[in-house]
Amino acid sequence: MIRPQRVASLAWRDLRQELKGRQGLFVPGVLIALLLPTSLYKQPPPQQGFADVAGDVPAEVLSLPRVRLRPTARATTFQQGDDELVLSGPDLDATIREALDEQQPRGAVAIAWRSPEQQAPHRGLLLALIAASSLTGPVSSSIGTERSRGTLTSLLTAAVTRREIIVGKWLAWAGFGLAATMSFTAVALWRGVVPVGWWLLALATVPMGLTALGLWVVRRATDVVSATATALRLQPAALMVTALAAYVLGDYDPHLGALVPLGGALITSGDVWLEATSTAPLVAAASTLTLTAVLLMLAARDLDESPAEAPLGTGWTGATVAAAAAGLALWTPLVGPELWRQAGNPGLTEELSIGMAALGASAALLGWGLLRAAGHTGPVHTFLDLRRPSPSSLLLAAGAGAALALSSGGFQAFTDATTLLGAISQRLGDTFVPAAVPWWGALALIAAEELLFRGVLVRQVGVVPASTAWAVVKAPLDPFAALVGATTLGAASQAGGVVASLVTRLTAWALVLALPVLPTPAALAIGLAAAIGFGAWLRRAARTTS
Amino acid sequence: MSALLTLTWFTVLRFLRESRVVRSVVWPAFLGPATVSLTLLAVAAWTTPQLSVAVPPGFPAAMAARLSDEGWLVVEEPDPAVAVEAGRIYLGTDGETIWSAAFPESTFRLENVLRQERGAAWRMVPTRPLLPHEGVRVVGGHGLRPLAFLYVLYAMVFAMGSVARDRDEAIIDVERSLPVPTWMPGFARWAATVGILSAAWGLTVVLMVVMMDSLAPVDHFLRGVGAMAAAAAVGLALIGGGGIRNGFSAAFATGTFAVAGLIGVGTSLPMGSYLPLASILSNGPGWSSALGGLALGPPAAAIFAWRVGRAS
Repeated sequence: MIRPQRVASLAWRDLRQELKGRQGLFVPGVLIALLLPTSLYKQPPPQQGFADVAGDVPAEVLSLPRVRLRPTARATTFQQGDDELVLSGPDLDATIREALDEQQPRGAVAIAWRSPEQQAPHRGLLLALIAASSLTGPVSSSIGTERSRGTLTSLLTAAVTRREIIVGKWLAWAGFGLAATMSFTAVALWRGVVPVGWWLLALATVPMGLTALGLWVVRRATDVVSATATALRLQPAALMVTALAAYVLGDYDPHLGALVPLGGALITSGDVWLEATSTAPLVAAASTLTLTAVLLMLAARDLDESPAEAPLGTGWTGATVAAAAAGLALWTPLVGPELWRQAGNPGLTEELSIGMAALGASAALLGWGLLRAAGHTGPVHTFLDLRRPSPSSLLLAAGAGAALALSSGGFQAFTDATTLLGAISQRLGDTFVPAAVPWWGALALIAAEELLFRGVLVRQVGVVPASTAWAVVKAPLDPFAALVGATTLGAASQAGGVVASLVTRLTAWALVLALPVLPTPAALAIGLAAAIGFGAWLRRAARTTS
Repeated sequence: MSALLTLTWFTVLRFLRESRVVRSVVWPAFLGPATVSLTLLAVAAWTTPQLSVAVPPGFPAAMAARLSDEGWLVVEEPDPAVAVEAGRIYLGTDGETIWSAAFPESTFRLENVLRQERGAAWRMVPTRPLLPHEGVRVVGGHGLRPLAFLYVLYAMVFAMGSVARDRDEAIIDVERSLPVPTWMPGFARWAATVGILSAAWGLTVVLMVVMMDSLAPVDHFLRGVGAMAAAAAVGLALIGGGGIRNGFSAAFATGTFAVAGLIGVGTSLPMGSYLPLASILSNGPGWSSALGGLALGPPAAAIFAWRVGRAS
């Protein structure tokens, strides 16, 4: 049950609080400064650019307006053969095609392009975007400030429900955004910058939806810094992703595009879909208003006085979270450059340095480790496994390194590097025992991985989950490498902490560089034997420790 | 000095212990490479499927065989034009006309085969110019500019918001009772903001260099540091007076407008590429922007202290 009077007074309170005094004039002032020129400016009709040509260009083509002789990368090149004229290039200007077919009609083929069902968005989209985006500050501070001032507690204990609080805040800022959007759209209509249409309906829902999204993303923010930082991160991302999805889906069917909440309304505000100018806005408005209602309900449900930060997961849960974060940190720089090859530009993959990729991955992993260190409050040894290993532990670690090196001939043995996944697996394999990486990149990567997985993560989740997380991240598509790596490094870590695991990695790296690669069957046999042996030792040692 | 370092260090720790702040600071670093990676994956997926073309019943067998030889999947449709218009297929032909809803490259490939079969006077061989390494480096550099702008906004928010929240929690009053100069707490917030964001910005630049070998990465980094330092200084100076009494929204709106305005005005100036903020849109030397931005910290802290004194 939502009581309109209380909602209205909550909305009025929010507006008064944020817009009071001379400083309060700045929010509407900024909106006017941004929206007035947008609604007044009439864009001149676009002009077509030049069409560049090169080679044996016929005179009738050269005489065309907008055609110029310039051998650029995108120029159409003409080559006169014995019996035919061969053109090459990424595109052919329609006037050149027309002139050639007129002069040389033999064997002509006409092209009828399907008339586009979409047009470029008009100014309505920009108006919706500016008005809605300018509410980031007030919406973010709305809940965050209440919480840091302690006034949220008073509200929650007063005779108002959570839904009334959220709807009141939404009413304040969605109403403010709506008023601003529609006022300046009226100016644009009056100036003839945009035509009247059903798109106005979709336009009106954009500030409503975005305000609801803003309240939902900051519902657990403890103060204005975390609230605004979160809103700055998520609001543009949500707008961009949903708008892109709506635009792509709209190519198949405008109603499908309009059905995407928020993005559908934003795209429809630009009156993009020519074949559904009346129905698409209705669908877009309905989907965005539905999302608004859902988000408001969810925000009200989660509105607590002091939301607790989620604790760091332990055991396998913590290892899964760590693997996901480390996967992002490692795969982005290591796998990313390989994708140029897959997309048809192999030269670029070859030119991008794998050493730099290893450095990038190390920087990302170390940054993650530093963040965890900053959040830690106890003595260093409770956070980082930096114990001094015994000589027997070091011997075991060196043995594990030798086993890892000798089994490296079996890594990627079953990978087909011509497929996308195979190529990705191969690229990750190059950094598993990083013999293919320059020494500086290899050392940085080994140090960063060991500090994080065997130093920090072991303390939080345990040896086996930490080693498994490392193996899954390093060799997600090569189970053999993952198995051998997880067991050998797990054993070294259990025996002597991060120093011992560093010895294992460095031994393996040095031996792979120094020795010839063993034949695959021998490498597989050694790897399996090592996995069984070190795995059994690890199991026994872990049981003894616990 | 030790008081300043202590205040700065604890402000840094406070920022880093808030998971929402950390997530917000870290995600732009992965935004550029992740967007490029997803685009490349989409391109890789797009280029793999076999090209198909609709032809009507009675289409010349020789021409159909030639198309098959060239790797086309020939599909018979009663009316290829209608099939293309309805979106069932991207390309259709009767041998003389091509109906296309496809990209120009695929359309021209089909046209090339048809013209060769028909013995045409001219034909078009479509090419796909690959982006050269230098071109990718330039694009990679441009890709850093919007991310720098995002960090500039963060810098302003961190400087302003850290004051607004400490006002709400009465920490500002505690700070004023400390035996340290009045400018020091403001300067510590500015330094902590610049330090944290510079580290995250450094990671962003490194990852873009890895992915696209961005041009002049050191200059990009320094220009970003200068812009962030300047934006944090603007934020700190603006929040000091009315912002302390009223709240965050108005100061945030003013700050956003001021920062965007300074970027716009600076870009139009002949020396704009040397200035902090405006330089993120230019290719000017990084050192001048960095030095200029970092030099704004102490005056901003002084203005902040003066305005806080007046406001209370």
